[in-house]
Amino acid sequence: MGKLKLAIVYGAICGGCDVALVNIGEKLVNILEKYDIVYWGIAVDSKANVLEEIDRIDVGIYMGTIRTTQNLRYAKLLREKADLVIAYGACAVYGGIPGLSTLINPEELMDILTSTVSTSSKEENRLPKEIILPKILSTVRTPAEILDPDVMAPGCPPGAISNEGLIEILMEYSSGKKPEGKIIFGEEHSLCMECPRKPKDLRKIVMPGIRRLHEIKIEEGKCFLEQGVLCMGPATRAACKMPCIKNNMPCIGCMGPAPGVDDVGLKMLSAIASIALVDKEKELMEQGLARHLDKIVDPLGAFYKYTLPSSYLTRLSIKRRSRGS
Amino acid sequence: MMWEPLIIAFFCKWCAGSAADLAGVSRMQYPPNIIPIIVPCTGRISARAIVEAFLNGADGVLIGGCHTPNDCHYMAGNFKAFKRVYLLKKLLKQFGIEPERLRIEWISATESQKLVEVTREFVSQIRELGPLHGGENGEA
Repeated sequence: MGKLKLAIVYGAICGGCDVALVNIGEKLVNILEKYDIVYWGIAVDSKANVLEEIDRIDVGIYMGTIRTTQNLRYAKLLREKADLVIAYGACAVYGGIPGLSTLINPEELMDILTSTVSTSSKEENRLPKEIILPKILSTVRTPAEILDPDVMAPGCPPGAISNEGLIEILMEYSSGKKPEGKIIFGEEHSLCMECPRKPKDLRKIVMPGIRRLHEIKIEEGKCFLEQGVLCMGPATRAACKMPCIKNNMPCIGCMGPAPGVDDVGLKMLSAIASIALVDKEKELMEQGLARHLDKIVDPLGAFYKYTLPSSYLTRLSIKRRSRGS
Repeated sequence: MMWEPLIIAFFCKWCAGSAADLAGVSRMQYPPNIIPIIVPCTGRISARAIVEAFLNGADGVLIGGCHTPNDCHYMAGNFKAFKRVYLLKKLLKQFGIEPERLRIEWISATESQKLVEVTREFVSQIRELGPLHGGENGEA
């Protein structure tokens, strides 16, 4: 029996997922024994027409999010030809960091790009005329929405749990036999369930104001929220071995929404509003409670770092934009 | 068809909700653009509920709760509502939606006059801002 065919396709990506995949190490050798890599920009000499000409791919891995018409075309090609599609990384599953651009108008963006790349005059349009670039889509679309992937590996980049799961699926897969249902790597609860930094009273966490990371020395072993640091743990799926928490940094939510959460930002916003300064509300109201909340300088960036394209507010904002106001 | 602003109002049962009742039995008139929803406490209105109101066609959301600092039936629900609305307004602004479309007011059970005034004022404010989206609520 011949080898199975594996294709790894990119969208808008920083390259970190490639590194994470290569970090799997020796186990990649087993994969190479079973699979033939037909397309992977970073590792094999593959051109775009390979994807177009091949009749069938067994396993396709999509990394990054869908930002341009070219990304969209490749994503659709992959879905068409691959039997099993895996969305790898936070960008592919939830939109990730490139997804933050979903609220920016493409024309405006090109304008900035072509007029402000250097210190020379702004009037000059620096983009050569003869090059045809793929068009930027008006909004970011996540592969999870377009590709309907069979397996989702969240994380920025996917950690040990996702990678172990991925290897297992790749090794168990045999042609035409897909695992049943949708698989998303991780546990069916939030990160706080596993976190070793337990608050004093689970039913009453008090946030003593909002502190930014540079303002305080974070105590080891104490709940971040109780120290006033924004931690996305309560709304994030437990799908990592907590590298951030163990290194004294709060969770930023790259594993995406916990089960039962469909909009991380709104859920976190409600939660933070409920626990911030609860012990001092009455005294602070007169002096300006709002002033303390202003310490969350960029709520969009803090709450939607990885999940902006799939948020309700983005939907509302796009609806509004398409009305042509 | 002329566009008419549609406003969802979340009133707490103890204060603004009772004020709305009082306004009703006192035969005070206020614009029919608001759809009041009585909730046990404003502190329990999640950001999600507010955004969902906007998504389902509301042009504005009004929240009526008890006066701070001591009127809340559940001690501190109004503070939670205040913080939530404040943060959500900041977020709405970043998404390019006018934060003025969301308003929170403290209205006690006896202040039916204030309720009527606030409603009138808010409806005219939203009328000035224009429709949030085409939606089912008629075309602009």
